[in-house]
Amino acid sequence: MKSRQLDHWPMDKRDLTAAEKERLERELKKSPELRKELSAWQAIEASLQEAPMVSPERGFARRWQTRLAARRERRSQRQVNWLLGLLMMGALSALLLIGLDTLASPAQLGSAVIESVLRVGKLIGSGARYLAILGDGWPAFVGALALSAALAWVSVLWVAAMYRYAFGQIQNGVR
Amino acid sequence: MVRDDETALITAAAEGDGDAFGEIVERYHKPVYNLCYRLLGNHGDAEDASQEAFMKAYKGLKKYDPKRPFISWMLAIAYNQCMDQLRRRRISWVGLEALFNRSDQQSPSAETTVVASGEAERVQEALSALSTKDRAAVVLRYWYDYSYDEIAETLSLTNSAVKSRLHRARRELMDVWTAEQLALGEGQNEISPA
Repeated sequence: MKSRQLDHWPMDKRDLTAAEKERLERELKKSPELRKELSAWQAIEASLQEAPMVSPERGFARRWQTRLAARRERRSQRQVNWLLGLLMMGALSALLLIGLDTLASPAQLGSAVIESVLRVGKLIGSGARYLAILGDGWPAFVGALALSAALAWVSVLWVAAMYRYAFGQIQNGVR
Repeated sequence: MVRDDETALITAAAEGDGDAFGEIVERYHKPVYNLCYRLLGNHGDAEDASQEAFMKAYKGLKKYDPKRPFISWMLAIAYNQCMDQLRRRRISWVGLEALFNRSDQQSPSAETTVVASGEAERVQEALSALSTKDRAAVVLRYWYDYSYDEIAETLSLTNSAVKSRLHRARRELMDVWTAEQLALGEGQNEISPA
């Protein structure tokens, strides 16, 4: 950057104090170089201040409304996708819980569901039993506990995802 | 009066009234668009950035502090949007030629208010020589008549950082302007008959 005498002065006249203005006046009388630089800067400053505000094409607000509507539409479509996806995930998990034996004999679906519910009940029961006799069954107890915690965690995640993505309120319709 | 009306519109918009915010967009789109245009240098990007800035403002309306002028808050969002856009697209300032090519491609409409005069072109070209933050400080100072404090708030800078950025920007502008004038002078000498 070129070094100039003007660099040592606040180039914005609004920044000059009364004393500085006086000092500048004195300096200007002494230095033609400073005078030249100042007038060059003032020409630039005037060009900046006179340059017009650039406007967009007419209908900016209408285009914004259209964009908002499109975004809302996309958002609700995404919400439907999330809802369907999460429901399918839940159904698949339930199917896994019921067991592959259902697939072998679809007629026994009812009994398989009951069996699965009983299996979960048994798991909880054994957890409680192991709580009572901690000393004897540490490894099995820890296993049952970990399994229950994992199941609980997956369920919580599922519910949270449902709440957040499938039914969650959207701030002003956009996200 | 206008302020009360504005507060009512903001309150309604914060409750999800898109039309109320549409009214706000109508009111403030010009200064927001101008800032985006001055920072991004072409109409297509400026339109996108300003539209997106209003979208972000609408979404984040609950975070708006009514003690602050709405336009300052809006310009800060627009500035950040432009910075994001520049970062993403890695726009390089390659001078007036590229600028005009892009403007021609992206906004051919006769309705667009195009910066037409030679002086305005020179202003935009000189601005493009500055860094984005320096450019934003100059735009806010000279087009919006912002004080140092207001610029600092909008650009998330300290007051002294704004002063030094503006000082540097002015020096750079002078360099560019002088170089241009010299080039113009040489050009005229070459054209004029001996």
